[in-house]
This record gives sequence, C-alpha cells and structure tokens, in this order.
Amino acid sequence: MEEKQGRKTDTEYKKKLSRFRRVLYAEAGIRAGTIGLAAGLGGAALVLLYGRIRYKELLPAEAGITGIALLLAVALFSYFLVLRPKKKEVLARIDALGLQERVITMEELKQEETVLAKRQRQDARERLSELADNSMKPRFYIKPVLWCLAMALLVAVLVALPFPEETVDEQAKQNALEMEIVDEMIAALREIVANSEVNEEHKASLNEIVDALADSFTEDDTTLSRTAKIATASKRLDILESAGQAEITVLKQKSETEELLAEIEALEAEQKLLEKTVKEMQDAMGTSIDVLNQVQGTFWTPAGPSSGTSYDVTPLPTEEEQQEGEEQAEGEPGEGEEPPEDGEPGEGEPPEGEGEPGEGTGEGTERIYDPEQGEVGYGSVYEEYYSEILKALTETELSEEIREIIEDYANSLE
Amino acid sequence: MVTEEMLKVFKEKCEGIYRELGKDMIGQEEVVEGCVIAMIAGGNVLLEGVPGVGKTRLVRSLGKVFDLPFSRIQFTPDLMPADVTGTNIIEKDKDGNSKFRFQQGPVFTNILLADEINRATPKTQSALLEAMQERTVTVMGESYKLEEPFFVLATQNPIEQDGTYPLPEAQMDRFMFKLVITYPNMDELLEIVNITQKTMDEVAEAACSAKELLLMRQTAKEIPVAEDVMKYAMKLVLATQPAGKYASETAKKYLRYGASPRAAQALITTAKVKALMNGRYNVSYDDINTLAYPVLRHRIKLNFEAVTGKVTTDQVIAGIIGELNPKQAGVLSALKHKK
Repeated sequence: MEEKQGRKTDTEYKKKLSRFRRVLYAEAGIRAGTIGLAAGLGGAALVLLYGRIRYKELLPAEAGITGIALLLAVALFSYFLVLRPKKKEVLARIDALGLQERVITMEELKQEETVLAKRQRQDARERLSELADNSMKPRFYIKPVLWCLAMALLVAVLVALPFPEETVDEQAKQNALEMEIVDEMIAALREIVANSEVNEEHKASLNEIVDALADSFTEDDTTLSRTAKIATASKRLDILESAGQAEITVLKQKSETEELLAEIEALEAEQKLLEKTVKEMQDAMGTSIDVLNQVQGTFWTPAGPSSGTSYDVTPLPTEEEQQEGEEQAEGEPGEGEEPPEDGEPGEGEPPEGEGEPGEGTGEGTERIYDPEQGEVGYGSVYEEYYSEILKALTETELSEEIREIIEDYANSLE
Repeated sequence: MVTEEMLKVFKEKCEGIYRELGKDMIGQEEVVEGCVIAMIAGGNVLLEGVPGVGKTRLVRSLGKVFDLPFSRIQFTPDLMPADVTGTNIIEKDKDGNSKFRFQQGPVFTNILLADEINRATPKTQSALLEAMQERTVTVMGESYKLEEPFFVLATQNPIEQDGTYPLPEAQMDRFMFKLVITYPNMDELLEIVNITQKTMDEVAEAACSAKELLLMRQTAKEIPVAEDVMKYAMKLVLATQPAGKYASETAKKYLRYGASPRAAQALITTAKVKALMNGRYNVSYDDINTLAYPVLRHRIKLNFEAVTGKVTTDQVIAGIIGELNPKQAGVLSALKHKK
C-alpha cells in the first residue's frame, strides 16, 4: 500500500515537474523572443539610419530583412545558449515556490538510500504535490520589453521623419558644373587651334592664350569671374588679331615692291586664317559663357544681372566687310605713329568694342576704331550694358580682384 | 547513521522542549529558540540584555527541561579563575597526611549561567572560555574533562559598561550565538506578572534527557545541505571580510574585520538543527539568512564610519544579505532584528 502510494506520489511529482519545466521553457522562449525582437528592431533602425545618411532614402526592404535575420538569430541564440533553464535552475525555481530547497536537495540525494535521504525525498515530493498546477507562473521581465518599445519608437521615428531639404552644397554642384563647362571649352579651343591652318607662330600664340586661360580658372571662381576671364582671353585674341592686321597696314604703307606685295599677300592670307580661327574660338567662348549663365540661373537667381543676361555675341564680319574695312584702313595715315586720340585705342591696345566676348574684329581697323560703324551700334547698348554691370557689382558678392577687373573693363568701354 | 527512530525522537523531544519552556518563558521566542538550537548544536550562547528580563530564569528552565544540573556564576571584578574552574585544596587523609584534592568549580556542570561575564578580569574570562572551547579544565597542569552536554549561557549588561572588561574578539568567536533579550511587550508583561504572582519557581518539567540531547545532536548533524546552499553560506561569511576577494560593498564600507571560519561552521551546524526543528530534512536559504544574525553579529567589528553613523551590526548583516539576495533585501530589514 505504502509502495503504491509512493509510486503514485512519484508519478504525480514527475508530472508536476514536467509541467513546471514547460512553463519555465515557455518563459525563456518569450524572453528570448522579446530580446530577439528588440535586436531585430535595433538592426532595422540602424539600416534605416544608414539609408537616410548615405542614400537620403529609406531602405525598407533591407531594414526588414536585417530585422528578421537578427530577430531569429538573437532569439535562437538567447534561448538555446543563454536563457533555456538547466535542470538545476528549474529545480531552484520550483524551490522558490515555498519548498525551501527541498527539490534541489532531493536531486542531490537521489542516489542515496539512507533513511534521511528517503525521508527527505518523500517530504519533498509531498510538498511538491501539494502545489497547485498553476503555481509556477512565468516571470515578466520588463527590460527586454522596454528595449523593444524603445527600438520600435526609434524605427517609427526614422520612418516618419521627413527628409531634410537638399543639403548638398549647391554652390559646390554649380561650381563643379561650371568647371566642367570651362574644361570642355578649353578642350574645344585647343582643338580649334590644333586644326587651324595658321602658321606655327600664331598657333603658339593662340595656345599660349588658351593655356593662360586654362591656368587662370580656380575652384573658387564665381560665374562672373569665369565669364570675365573668358572675356579677357577673348580680348587677347582680338589683340592678337589686331596686331596682325596692324602689321599688314604698316607694310602696305611702304613702297610696294614685288617682294613686299608678296609678303603682304602672305600676311593677309595668314591674317584671314587667324581671323577665322579667332572667330571660331570666340564663338566657342561665347557659347560657354551662355551655358555658364544658364547654369547660374538654374542654381541661383541672383539679384544681379547675370541671370538671363545674355552676352550679345555679334558675329564676325563677312569677307566683304573685312575687305571694306581694309580698303578704308589703307587710306588712313599710320595710326600706329600718331598718338591715339581720346577715346580711340592705340596700337596694341584692345580696340574699342572688342571687350565684349564674341564680338568680332573683322570689321576692319575702321570698325575697330569706330564702333559707331558696327552692325549694332555700341553706343545704343553701352548704357544698358553698363547699368547691368553696375547692378552686378552692387548686388553680387564678388572678390576684390574680380571687382577690379569688371570695373576696369566697364571703364575701358567708355 | 540516522534512523527513523532518531528522527521520531527528535521531533517529539523538540515539541516537548518548547512546550515546557513555554510554561516558564513568556515571549522571547527568538531567544528561546536560539538557546535550544545552540544546545542541540553543541554551542554556547552570549546573551545580552538588561537586568530583570529573564536571563537566569531561562537558564534555570533549560536546566529543568533538559533535566541537567545547572550552575550560576556571578562574575565580578574580584572573581579569580580558580573560582570558576576550581582549585586544588589541601586536605588530610585518614593517616593525617596532607594531600591535594581537586575541588571542582562551578564550571563543572552541564548548564552554566555566567552572569555579566564582562565584569570579570580577562584572566578569569579566559578560564571559562577555555572550558567552553575545549570542554576541559586545566588546573596545575592537570586536565579535567567536562561532562557532555556542556552549555554556557554568558550574559552581558549593555547598560553598565563602566569598570567592565569587554570580551576580546577572539573570545567572542567561541560563542555560537549572540542573542539579544529585550523588554517584554504589554501582553507579555501582563502574562509574566500573572504567572509570577502565583509562583516565582520554574514550573517546566523535564522533556529531554542528556542522552536524548546528544542523540538529537547526532541526528541534526546528518541533515543534508545542498551544494548551492552550502556555497551560499560560505559566500555570506566571506562577504563580511572587507579586505577579502568576496567582500560585499556593505562590508567594505562599515566593517573593520569580518567573521572567521568558525562562523561558517556555526552557521551550517545550527542551520541543520533549525531545519530539522521545522520538520524539514534539508537546510534552506531561509535557515542560513535567519541564523546569520545571531551567528555573525558578535563576530564582525564595525569601523569608525559605522560607529559614527550609528549603524548597527544587524543592519550591516542585513545589507550583506541584501547584496547577496537582491529580491530579499526588503524582507530582511535589520529593523526586524535586534543588536
């Protein structure tokens, strides 16, 4: 009878033990799951943050995959390697239900058959069987839940937060684009010079102008300074062209020997080629200036005049116009010998009206020195042009160097 | 080897002891339990309490309940060691020859009440303490064994400290427990007066013999202690040592030095007795925590910070237990325990 009773208690004890163990395993599972969820949400938050910073966009798919992967990995690792209670821990939790270390002592004495060991086991089983089946309640661990909530909140914030306005340095973008335009222009100019039929001396001079222009550009240049530099280079082309024309004019004033006539003819041919080359180069420069102004208009609408301001690219004179100009120049005394009149540029000086890029010099010496004879009367655009310059100077932030160049240029137009 | 009979005897005798003691002692359950545990475990008790709270009565009752001879020594500053242990006296035999005969002192008893032990000189104190520890008395080179069971209940008056010789720490360590006896409450006082109006004599009857007491001691020794519980008890003792590897923060802050290995022995021995008295066949953490106070309070020394901060030893012990058992810290508040 006693043996039967003992077996019954034994069975009940094992059932209860098994039931309690399942509760503890479930508790560990929930805890591991919560920790895994917190880790998953944390991983997703990191990916979202990375996407925001690096790519300026949400990466929902990547965040989701990362979150799920981390959740599973952390949950499984936590459960099987950390949280799943060992036998001793299960027994200790059962003892904590008021059994006062009976169960854990019973486990240690399970191999002993002394009177005391048997009584102890019996006592432990009796007490265990007295416990209600639902005595073992899973513990609630607040920390993992708080971490979950915190990570969930972080994810929600990262998803809901609006993206900030474009913070990329627009000025840097514009700058980069302008440099690109300038580089393309330089390349085009070099190609024009390379393909030109002018003599080597002129080629060298033209390349020197192009090289100097290329070297003058820096990262810190503004649109206006870049256009001013291009304008200056264009002026230098005009000067080169004028110098050639002046040489021809001087020679023509000497006695017309056959030798001299041949030389003049050669020089005139060369001058034509030079003028053609200069025209092509100035066209390229003019186009670049237009593009630069358009780029500036895209990125920034300054108070100044540069936006939408187009430089009037007056086409070079035709051959007939050039001849006309030459015939007119032949009749005039050596201008190089007389001191220049007020308002008229002397030899070597940039001819009036040549300050505007793209403006041709092909109108001949008379046109150069007499802007009133141009297709577009300089006097009619000068005031408008000058007011735009003034507006740009007053309303635009320019470095002192550029300001001086512009002021000098504006003054030289007078 | 413990038998069923021994377990049965233990249970019955415990019930009888408490029943009989309850007739003479009103209240003071902790003190009574502590004394009984110490007696069964084979240790001695240092009792601290003001006069008139029942210390002598307790010892007399214990003597009656365990049916053991009882002696009382009132320690005074002029008490000599020989007054405690006994001495050789010269006597003449039938032939008229003089010879020495050892006259046993009051220590030769089973239950000894050493009243106000701190009033005697250190020399006299040590004479008793040797007897407590070794269970022998040495007089003029000759050792005399004391009869088992031998139980000393020494008392200290916490009020009159003038002209006293506080027991040195090494000697304090020989007491298994230090129990604090307090004033009775209203109901207890009422009951005491009612009982003592009828008779001042102890009415408790014998409930256990010396032989049975020794049997109970042997039974309790066999009670198993789970490995974790044993380690916990060791951790608790080691945590009291401020310079030790396992020192607790409380010990580092408030103690000058901690308990010795004797404390660990006392803790386990008495925990076994307590477990069996509670009808359990194993020692639990609760047993260790409850007995930590009487075992440790006289074995740890407070430092200056604790003294100036009016921190008691019981509060320190509660703090250490709290550090080892964070969930139980609130329950084991030192407010529930006396110094």
